[in-house]
Amino acid sequence: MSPATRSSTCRRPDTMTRETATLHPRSRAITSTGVAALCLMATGLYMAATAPDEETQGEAARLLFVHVPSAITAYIALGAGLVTAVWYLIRRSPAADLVSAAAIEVGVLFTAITLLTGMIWGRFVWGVWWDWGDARMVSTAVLFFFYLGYLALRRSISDPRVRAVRCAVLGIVGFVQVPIVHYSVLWFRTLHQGPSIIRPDLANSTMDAAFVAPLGAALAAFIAILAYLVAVRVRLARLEAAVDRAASTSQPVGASVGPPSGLSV
Amino acid sequence: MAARAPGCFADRPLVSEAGMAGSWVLFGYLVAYGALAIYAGHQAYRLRRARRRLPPEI
Repeated sequence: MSPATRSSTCRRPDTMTRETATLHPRSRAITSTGVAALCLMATGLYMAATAPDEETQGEAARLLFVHVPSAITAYIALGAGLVTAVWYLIRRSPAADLVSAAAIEVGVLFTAITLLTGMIWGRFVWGVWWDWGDARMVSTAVLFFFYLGYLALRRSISDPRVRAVRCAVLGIVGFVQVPIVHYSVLWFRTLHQGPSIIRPDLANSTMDAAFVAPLGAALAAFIAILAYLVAVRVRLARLEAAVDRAASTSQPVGASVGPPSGLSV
Repeated sequence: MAARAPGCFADRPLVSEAGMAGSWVLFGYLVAYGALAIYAGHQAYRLRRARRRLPPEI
């Protein structure tokens, strides 16, 4: 698409800079990602609803198609936060800092969903909402609160460069917990079952093929939702930084390309 | 696991086993997708609000 066509669609002047383009709240790429996420979500929900009942848990096993994808998506989001944090420390790229913070924020959301859906599932099949002796539950809760601390740190430092460095270090250190969470069910024999899909011996999945397809569809939907939410979050952070600059200085917002401020939640 | 009605209905479940399980599943899906919808809606609201606060020439 030519710049002229795009500007007429989004009611932007042809003379806009690259930064003003990123400030516009609507983007075809983001909208397309959102639409794809909605379509995948509808497909995933349909396949989850039409999946067969599980032999021992019956209907309750359908929580698999929201609990497991949210956990894997949280891993992916926090992994993206790790990679971009490392990238920031190497290249000092403000964009990497923004993406890292956005990915971690959305990762915290998916971790919360994992905890909540796990508690609901556990209440039905185990009879308890929570078990402090379970390694998977406790390690996931520690992971969740650690990254809440990351978000709190992000809000507490006003200098963008200091904030970016400290949060990058914290994001790297925090990711150490992800393998601990995942392998906790192998290292400790507690209430939570062992891994069914992402196992050390990848060839021997314990899940029936009838459940793998709906799980894959749900996982694809959650990953698309993750991509959409991170893209929107990055755009919002850039826009809010531009608004802050416009409020503090009289210069045109789109005229300068300075380091964007960090995510303010 | 199934809830039972008191009195003369005590011999049969008020809600079937599948119904109880389905209710928990529905609850879980509402929590998960509700959280995602609330977050996405909040981001969209903040995006529009920030856009309104930008100078009109941008």
